[in-house]
Amino acid sequence: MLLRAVGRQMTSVIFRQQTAVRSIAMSRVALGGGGHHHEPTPVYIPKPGSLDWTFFSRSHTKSAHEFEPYKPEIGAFIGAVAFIGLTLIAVVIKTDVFKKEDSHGHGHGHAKHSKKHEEKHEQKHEEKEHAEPEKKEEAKPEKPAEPKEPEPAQKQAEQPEQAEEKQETKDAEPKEQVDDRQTEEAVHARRAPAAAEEPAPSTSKADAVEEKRSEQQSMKPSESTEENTTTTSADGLLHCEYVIIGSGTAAYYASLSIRAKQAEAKVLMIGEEPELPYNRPPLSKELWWYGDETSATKLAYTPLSGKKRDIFYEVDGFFVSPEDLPKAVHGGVALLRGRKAVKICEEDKKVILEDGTTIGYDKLLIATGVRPKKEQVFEEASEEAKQKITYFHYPADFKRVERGLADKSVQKVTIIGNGLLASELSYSIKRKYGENVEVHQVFEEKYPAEDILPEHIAQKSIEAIRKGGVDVRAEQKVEGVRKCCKNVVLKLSDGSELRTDLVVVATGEEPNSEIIEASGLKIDEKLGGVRADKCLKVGENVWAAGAIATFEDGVLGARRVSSWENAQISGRLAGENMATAAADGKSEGKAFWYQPSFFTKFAPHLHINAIGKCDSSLETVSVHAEPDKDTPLEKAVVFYKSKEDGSIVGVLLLNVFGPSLDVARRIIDDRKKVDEYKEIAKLFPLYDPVKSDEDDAKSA
Amino acid sequence: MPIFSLIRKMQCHVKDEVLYIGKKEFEEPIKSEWVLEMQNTEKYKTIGPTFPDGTINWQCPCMAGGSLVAHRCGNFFRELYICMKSDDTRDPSEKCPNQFVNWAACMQNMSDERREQMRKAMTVDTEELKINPK
Repeated sequence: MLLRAVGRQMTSVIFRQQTAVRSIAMSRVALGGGGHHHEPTPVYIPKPGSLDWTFFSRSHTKSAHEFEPYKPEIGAFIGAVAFIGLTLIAVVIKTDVFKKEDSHGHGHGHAKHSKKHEEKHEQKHEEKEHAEPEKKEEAKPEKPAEPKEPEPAQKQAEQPEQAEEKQETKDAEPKEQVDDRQTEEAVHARRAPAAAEEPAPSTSKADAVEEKRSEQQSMKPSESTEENTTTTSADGLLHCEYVIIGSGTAAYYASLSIRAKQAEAKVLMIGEEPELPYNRPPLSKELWWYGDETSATKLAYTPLSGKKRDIFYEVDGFFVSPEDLPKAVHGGVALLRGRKAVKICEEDKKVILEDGTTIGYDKLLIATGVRPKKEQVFEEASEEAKQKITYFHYPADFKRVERGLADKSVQKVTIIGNGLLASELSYSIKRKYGENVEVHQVFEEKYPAEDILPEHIAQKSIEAIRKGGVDVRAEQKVEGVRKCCKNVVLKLSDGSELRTDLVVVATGEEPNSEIIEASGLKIDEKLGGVRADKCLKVGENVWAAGAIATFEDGVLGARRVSSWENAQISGRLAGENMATAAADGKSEGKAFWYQPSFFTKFAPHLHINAIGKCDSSLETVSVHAEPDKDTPLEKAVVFYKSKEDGSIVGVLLLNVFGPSLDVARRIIDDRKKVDEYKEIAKLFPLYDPVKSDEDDAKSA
Repeated sequence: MPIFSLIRKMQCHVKDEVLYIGKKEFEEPIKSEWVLEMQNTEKYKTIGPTFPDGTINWQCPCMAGGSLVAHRCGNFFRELYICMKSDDTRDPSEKCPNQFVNWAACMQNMSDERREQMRKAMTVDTEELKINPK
């Protein structure tokens, strides 16, 4: 009975000591990790004091107990502990203790002897515990870095393992208790040392588990936060008053228009691209002309006006986050990035995203725009060759080409296509990098911009591009692509081969129509894109804007225009019609009325502004200013005539600047059939008024 | 006869006609009335801050094309602009301090405490301005 009672008390003492050791180890980690090897020594000193206290409390307990005759023995214990604490020489300690024990002639001498032995072993045990935590502390700093490196998916995969570790922890605890009891129950001195050593392994396991627990705890908050975010986001996206599919120019300007007409409107843009809404034309023009070494990273340039700007319409701060939009008192514009919408349920007024998310709407705008047209010969190329081929459409494409040229890994570039984009790229790259870069332009057609420019102007444009240093390969088809060392070799239809570092494909665009087909809306057979009426309305509570919309132009008939100004104008118009439409969705709204223009430049003296239907298959009349020896600029106005009645349906201005575009709009809107082309050409500044003033001064 | 008709036919089918206008001819006055009328491009001009019916054009270039009211703080800007516009007699520097503080605080993500500090500072300034003339 006596021995068992003592054993229980000893067990509680051991637990307390172990807890103290662990807490000390933890605090060290908190303070900055493991310290010097000798640091445990100072921490060890308080141990004797705590032991004294423990024994004192025990004596107190015993004094209340019936076994008062043992009081004198307690005093002996205290003396022994003090004696041990005062000596640092192991041999001396052992010698003295043994001598004193031998001097005892009492029958209880054996019991005292065994107890003292246990105490010694406990102390050694504690020392071992001190040593082991140090090693672990040294290892700990490395471990925290590991969880951060794996991706979230891997973190989730690790969770089951952590759970298993937790179970191991639970299993370990009972074993510790069993070991301790066995230690206590060991009566013979010979067995005691072996038993005392056993707890060490379980202790190390417990410490390791504690470390993992702390790691788990540090990870848990972020995980729970992510879960909360997802939950909130899902709730927030269940429904929104105005939903816009797309995050380009038309979508952006539609949101401005909606918010201007309805002060507290809630607008949600769903964009497939990862970027904020941006202005695309500078990707083939101003970013090359006026950019600096940071243009590839910041997509910024300094135009001639001197004020630095970038291609993005807004900063992040403009937007309300999708989670906050439902509770935004005054509404706002929210943007979902990198999310693709795949279907519209017109009856249910819902949009379904690629990941299955469903978003309800009151009014919907389709502004999905266009994407690069894929070329079969490049799609069939080998994977190695494909790494040297890029389509040019998104900011990432600009970054790739610009970086390649800047770090000189690309010194020969071939641009495929004869359209405005390809021609602009040829001119812009040559303008920026000059002799340092070989630029080739390859197309099957005869001239650049052949579908827009009348033949005599197209001929001059190809000469101008060649004069700018671009190697133009006209009427050539790319028949094969293969990798060769670090380059790509293009096999052309005339049998020649073209070696290049990078191939940039800009042969044309196609509308993003999958969602139109999937939703059962009508696609225009001739022009592509979703069919809309003159008010840009597609169906009940559904509108369209930008390059995806084939709309009824009151003057020029059915049209689908892929230009920046069209995106802006149609975006604003669609937004206004959405915001002012009656709840029943039957009101008509404003009809499309403002002719969009576009501008391009692909040679030093070939600056083109155009408006209306500029189709080179139409008959044209060009009025040229007579060539001036002093200025290389050749100025001209091109009028495109309708096939039906010969009225003017398009106007193209070559090197003519100023507010002439509004005059052109007026001519197109009035559907004028013209006979006196020279007379009407006087409305455009083919000659500089300043010069006439100078002439007057000279004559005077 | 056959040759003449052939030449005539070719002329009729010229697709891209090229004309040249000399400087002297260009500077001669325009005679046609309808050509002169084409110079009237009033309806295409950008509308300023006010529509003809007196309402505010929130999408005019002077308000960043509509960006200021579409912004998440756009409602505060509306209140500020309407307040500024409603009273033409007072000096703009002392008008609408509360509306301005609300808008500026939203734009800069200020805490409530900081916003009220700003409001107090502006209000005190207003008082000081009133005291000075005395």
